[in-house]
Amino acid sequence: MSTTTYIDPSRLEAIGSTHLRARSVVEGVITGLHRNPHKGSSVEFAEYKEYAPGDELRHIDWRAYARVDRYYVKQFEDETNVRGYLLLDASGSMSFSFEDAPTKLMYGSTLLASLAWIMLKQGDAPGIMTFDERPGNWLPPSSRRTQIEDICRVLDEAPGSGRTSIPSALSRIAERVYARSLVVLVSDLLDTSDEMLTIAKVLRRRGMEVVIFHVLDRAEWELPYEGLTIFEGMEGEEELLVEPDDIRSAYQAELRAHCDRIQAACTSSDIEYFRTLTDQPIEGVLLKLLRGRLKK
Amino acid sequence: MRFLNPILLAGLAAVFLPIVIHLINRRRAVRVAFPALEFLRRSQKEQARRLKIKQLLLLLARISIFLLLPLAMAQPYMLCGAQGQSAGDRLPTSIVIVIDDSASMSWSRSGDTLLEVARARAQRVVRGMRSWDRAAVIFAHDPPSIVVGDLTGDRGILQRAIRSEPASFGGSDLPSALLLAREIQLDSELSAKRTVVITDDTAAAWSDRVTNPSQLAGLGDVEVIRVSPERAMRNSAVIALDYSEAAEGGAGNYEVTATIESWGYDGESEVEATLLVDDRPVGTTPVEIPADRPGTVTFTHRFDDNGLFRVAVSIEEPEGASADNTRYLPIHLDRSIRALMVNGDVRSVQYNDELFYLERALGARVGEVRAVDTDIVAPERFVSADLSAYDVVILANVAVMPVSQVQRLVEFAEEGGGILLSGGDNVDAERWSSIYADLLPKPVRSVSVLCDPNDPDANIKATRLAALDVTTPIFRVFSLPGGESIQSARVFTYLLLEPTTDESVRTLASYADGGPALLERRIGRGRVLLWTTSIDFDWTDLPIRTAYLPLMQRMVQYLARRGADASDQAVLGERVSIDVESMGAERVEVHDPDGERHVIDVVAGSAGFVPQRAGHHRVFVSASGRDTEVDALSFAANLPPSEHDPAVVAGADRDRFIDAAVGARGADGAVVDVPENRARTWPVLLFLLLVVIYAESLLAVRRRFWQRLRGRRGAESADAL
Repeated sequence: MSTTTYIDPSRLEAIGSTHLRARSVVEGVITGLHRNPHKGSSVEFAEYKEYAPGDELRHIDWRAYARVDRYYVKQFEDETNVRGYLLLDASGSMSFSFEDAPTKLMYGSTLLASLAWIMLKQGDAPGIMTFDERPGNWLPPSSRRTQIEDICRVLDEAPGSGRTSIPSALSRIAERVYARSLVVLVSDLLDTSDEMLTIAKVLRRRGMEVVIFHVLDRAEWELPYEGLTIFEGMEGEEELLVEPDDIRSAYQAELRAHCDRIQAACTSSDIEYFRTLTDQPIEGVLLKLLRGRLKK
Repeated sequence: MRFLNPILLAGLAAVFLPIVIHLINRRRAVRVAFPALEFLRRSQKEQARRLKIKQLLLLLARISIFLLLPLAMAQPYMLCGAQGQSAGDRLPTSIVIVIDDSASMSWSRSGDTLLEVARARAQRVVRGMRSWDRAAVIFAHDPPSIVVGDLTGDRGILQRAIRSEPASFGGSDLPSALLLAREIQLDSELSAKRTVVITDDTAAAWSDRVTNPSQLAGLGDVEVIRVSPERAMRNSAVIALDYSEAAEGGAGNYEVTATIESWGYDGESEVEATLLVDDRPVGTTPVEIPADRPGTVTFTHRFDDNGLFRVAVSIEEPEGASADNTRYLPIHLDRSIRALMVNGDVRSVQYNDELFYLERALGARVGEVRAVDTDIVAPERFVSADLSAYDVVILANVAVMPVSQVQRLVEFAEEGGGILLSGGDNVDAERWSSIYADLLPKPVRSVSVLCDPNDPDANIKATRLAALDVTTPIFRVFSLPGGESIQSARVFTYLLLEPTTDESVRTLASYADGGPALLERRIGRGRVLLWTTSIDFDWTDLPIRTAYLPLMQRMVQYLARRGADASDQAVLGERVSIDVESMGAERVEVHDPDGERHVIDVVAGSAGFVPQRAGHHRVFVSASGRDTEVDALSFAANLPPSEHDPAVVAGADRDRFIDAAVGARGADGAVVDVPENRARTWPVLLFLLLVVIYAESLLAVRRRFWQRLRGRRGAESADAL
């Protein structure tokens, strides 16, 4: 598919509403490319599972109980009720943009709104949480038709300021999510600690699908500045006076090493990792995700 | 350095621009909000040092650009030529090094002598020569000697010459040395000329022997290197040495008197003086030297044998020139005194004869040897007398003498002979004054007759010798106990003299009534004594007194011509004529104090020799194929008096001399002046400017180059996402 059919990210900002931006993106994405791999309450039986508190009593197979004197719950092929926990990094660093590119926050918001839209179309239940240093607005997953409006509202209210703490957000999600959920994280991942990856791995081991969208601005990737420059941190760091030309190569090497380390950690933990720049079409990123899931 | 467009140097003010811009740029750095600050910080740590160096280099390069640009535009140049200061910088140069090695250069305080310092400075000049320069070396003693006369670029030869030339420590003659230097410079084909004079800059060194400074034209640039210290130099020197028979101790006892002078001392100074006889120290004594006049020290020494004794007096001083600390004097004791007595009043009765008493007094034996060998001649036979065979001529009551003979006597005195004139009845005051005018210390006015010897009141009327100059060897003996017997002699008649202002005349003795008794006049190297009363019994009864014999003997000894004394010693650098006519010598060989032999041809009966070393010189005469040492011809050479004073010549005086000499260049047309030539230096500055601009461009443009390259890489990387 040619990327020219996609919306130019630089034009996204002109579309004021996140809802409209998401809709524009979704229109460009082929819907229903994926099957829900999770088991749920479907008419097509899949397997038994030993009863645990919280399981619906109506799914208990009483015949099986009669035979083996244990409670088993029936599980079915279910294509409609995947719970999606969409996490958006709304810290200060996400407000960065260079020249015509949208901010990473806008790019991430549109990406998640588009994804939520697609999930709702498929009958899944997307939820949303924004976070900075602490977990922010939280909208539980739901498949209601009005869910997309609520998600867009939460995304529009994302502050785009403050420090980042991905581990605290993931920890909060870990407390709330059910098994067989989809956790999608959108962040610039500039936190160099390993705690985030550790929690993501825990989530994955608990049976959740974890998808990470690593969003970067091209200016962050290439450091295109010239002349003596005072760089001011966006999350309260001390300013730094440097000649970008002199440190460009070293900077790029550092950043690439950081990204590669995250990617390697994700791959080894079966976490889906997508790195994208804010000047790249969102549709392309979503399709990459959806195609990947169809193959499973 | 000069500039064609000096006004453009105002552009140098712009040299501060890069600094100001640099500082402003730092303040005007673009502020950018950037999220990945942690990665920037990590990278910046590694690059910080390199960044600082690069920024410093850039700043320096930009400053250099603003410095070099106005300098180059002002078009600087250097003058190369006669009036420029750098002809020697550009052209092959002939360098003549003139080293003063006179006695004053032997001065030292505690370390090296000035001459050693001068040699070191000369070596430095040689080391500073470029491969295309040529040099010669002259030592400026008196007379100066050319050590390396052919201009050479061989540093080995020059350095060896400077090192190996023995110090003369004699007199100095820088002007004559500069004349030699001029000859070398004029012979040189090199257009740039430089004369380096290394000296202690004493007044003696710059003695004005070259009266016409234009004689020195052609020396080129004259550089005077003064090696003497800044503060006043001190020095003590033995300036004179003399000897005489001692009044005490009998025959063979002599007094050697040294005169010592000090310079540079505020008050009295003290040195230790040592008498050396034949190089052996025989006595040492401290000598106090007043600040305003010389001090003297007298050694009494007994010479047991006749013959030649090489005597010297040496002093030890903490600071000063060593060369003048010793003075040399040969003493010949193997020669008896020979006196020719002219009898002006011959009598048949012996005791009435004018010379009866004198002959016996002088003929008295001292041990086995007669004190004086005497010959007596009548006035009319004086013409045929060979005066060179005598040391003393005594004219006793001689009334007249032909003018030619008087002239002979004057010449005899000028050559060192002694003449004693005594009064008597034959003396006519007017005639005497006329005839002996060239000999008499003072003209005779009249004859003063106090009384007749037979007068009963003679004891009262007669006068006596009263005021004696006991500092002279003649009367010194009479200052001793018993010496007063001379005053018992009565004088009945004596010559009255006219007053005179002649400073060479002095009165050695006077009578009690104030009349002169004995007067001395110096003529040339000799002396004339006038005894105003008679030498016999006619005008005085002295001949029958005990004082007569020692007085007469001492007068003759005082007058006697010696082999050498303070007045006829050789001076370093001055020609000595060795008279060997009577010996039939073919050649003469002089052995100097260092043992070096100098063979001299005899011309017209004499051999000329210029001593270069202070000390005793031995003379060998070669006749009939045999070499014989002649003690009588031995002599000692001493320093000229000018070398003793270490006072440094006023710079202005020396500069006037040099300026007069150098300023005369071109007057004789002999010097080839190098025309003024401008050596442009701005092309070099332009070249440097280009280099700096190129370097600045590399430092600055290189950044963009990498930026473009990395831009492609970034794109590739982005695609790789």
